[in-house]
Amino acid sequence: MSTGESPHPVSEIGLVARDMLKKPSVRERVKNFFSFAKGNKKLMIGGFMLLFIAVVALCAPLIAPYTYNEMRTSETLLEAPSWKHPFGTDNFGRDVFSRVVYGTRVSLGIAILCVGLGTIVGVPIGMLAGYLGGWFDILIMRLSDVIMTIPTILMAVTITAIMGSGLKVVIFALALVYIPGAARLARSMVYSIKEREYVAAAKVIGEPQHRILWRYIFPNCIGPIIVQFTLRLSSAVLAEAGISYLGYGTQPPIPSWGLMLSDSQGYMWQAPILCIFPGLAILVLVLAGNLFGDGLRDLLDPRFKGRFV
Amino acid sequence: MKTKRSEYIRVEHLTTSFKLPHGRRLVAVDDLSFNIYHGEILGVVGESGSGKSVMAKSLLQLVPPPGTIDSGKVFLNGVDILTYSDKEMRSNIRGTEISMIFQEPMSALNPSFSVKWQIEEVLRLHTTLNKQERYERVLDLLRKVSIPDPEKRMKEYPHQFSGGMQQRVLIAIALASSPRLLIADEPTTALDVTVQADIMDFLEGMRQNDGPSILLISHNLNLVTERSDRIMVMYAGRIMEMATSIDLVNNPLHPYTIGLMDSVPDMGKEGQKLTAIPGELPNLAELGNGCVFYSRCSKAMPICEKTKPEPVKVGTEHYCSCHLHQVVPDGGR
Repeated sequence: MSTGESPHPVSEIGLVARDMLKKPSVRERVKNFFSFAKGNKKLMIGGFMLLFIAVVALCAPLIAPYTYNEMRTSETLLEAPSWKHPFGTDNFGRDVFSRVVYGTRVSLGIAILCVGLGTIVGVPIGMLAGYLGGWFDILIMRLSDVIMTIPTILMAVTITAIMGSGLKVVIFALALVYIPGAARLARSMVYSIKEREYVAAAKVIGEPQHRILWRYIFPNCIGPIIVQFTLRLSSAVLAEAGISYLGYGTQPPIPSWGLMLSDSQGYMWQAPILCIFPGLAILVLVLAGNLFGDGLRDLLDPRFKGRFV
Repeated sequence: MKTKRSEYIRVEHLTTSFKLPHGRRLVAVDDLSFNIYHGEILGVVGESGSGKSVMAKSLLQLVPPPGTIDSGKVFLNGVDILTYSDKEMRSNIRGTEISMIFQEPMSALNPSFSVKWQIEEVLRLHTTLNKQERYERVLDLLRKVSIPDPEKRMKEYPHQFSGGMQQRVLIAIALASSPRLLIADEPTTALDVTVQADIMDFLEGMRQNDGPSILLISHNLNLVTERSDRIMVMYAGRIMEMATSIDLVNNPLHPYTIGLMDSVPDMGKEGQKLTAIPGELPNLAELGNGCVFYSRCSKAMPICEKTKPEPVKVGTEHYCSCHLHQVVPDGGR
């Protein structure tokens, strides 16, 4: 704020008044954010769960008492939970707790990568289709229809059958599955927003097309896209687990939760406890993603802009 | 009219139509010719669907599809801007020569950016000012449209402003690169009456300091007669009558104009009966060869059904398209 333009020295009161008019500081914004989030239980609970999961993923070596592949065949296999092995041990004598902790990295990592890739590729395509309309729109939408008719697992299995199994292939296959949905959402958002008066106003002041797309349409359709992103994280975790369960995804000994589930199936009778913990981990992550996504939907309402964004 | 008036824009035989299914066309603007002088307020009145907005958008070549400008010329400083490409329109006309403000100020502002950003955007597009100079100019513009405490308010977002303030911001955006013509499409319809007067006072006041000409579009006859120098009465895409506001109020000639005047209450007249024009706007896709107002006209004659009346000069700056006035009464005075 320039105080120099006033010919009179700014009084004490004036200073205080100016302070009050100042843009909220970062601290105030954070405070505003939390006071808003407090009223939004879904966002709070989902957010904390996700945060917790992310911390576990990042600090896996610090949390896990053993490495994910440390076998202790000399000791008892398929041990029940104890203080030494909180989640028990598996058929190779590996500590299940450590494997679940390391598995967080794999599951969350794959989910973020493939949903992220799907969104980054799908959204621009969908926005262009919605903005340009015409034959390009028809082409993109029919193509996405084709991809969407194929079930996720079938698609992933087909791709792994062609390209061989492995982490990269799973990520590629799932990303491909997530492109059409992202494109469709972006397209429908653009369709409704391009008719808004502020887009007409942008044309009146001589904005070029690409700037209209980037500055007038994109920021106003980003909310639902972010919500879709978080909601899909949980579905990607499930899909990865499913593919790994079938044996096409993550390969042993890398500890993916889906793979652990599938391995534990063979010991249902000897150690039923084995399948509980990876299953619970999947449940927690999916729940966290869904709660957070729902909460975000309320948060990203543009009416709350300027308070903390 | 204080000084000698020079013509700013001249529109000749502008026709804009919309493509309908089965090869039919809806002619929204039909053979329109008029001009706008420097610094004048030209009012355009007409009921909804009379082609006012389409006419305005045609000037900017921003008719939404499936609409197209079929024929006509729009001369601006002697150049026909209808021959301009979209790129030429963007860099030479839109925002710099001709600007526009809208009916719903809230929906005409981008909710995702601060007011400062949106005003600055015009400057980024059309000027080479640096950041500091742009800031000063934004501040200056906001002061000009009397936004209180502009340094603080410019960092806020559109929803934090009231309707009247939003309209002021829109005006600031429109004025940012000093256009010569401001199209005001129902600028006060969405605002309450006191704010309405404020905004109109401001627009009128701009002319004192070499402001732009204003094309004031409204369906509010009172507002237009009060505020404009000349008035164009439109009906079904055609000009019915065009005159100076004083002339039009004192001596309306076209039956449609007379009908409009009679349907507006006058505070001076006690016990005045308000009359409505019977019927409604004809379907623009099914117009015959006759006068567009024929079906509702109280003075319809047989000829009105067969031929379209052309605008005829009936006085200084007074034109009327009606068969009643095709023969100039007293020598075209």
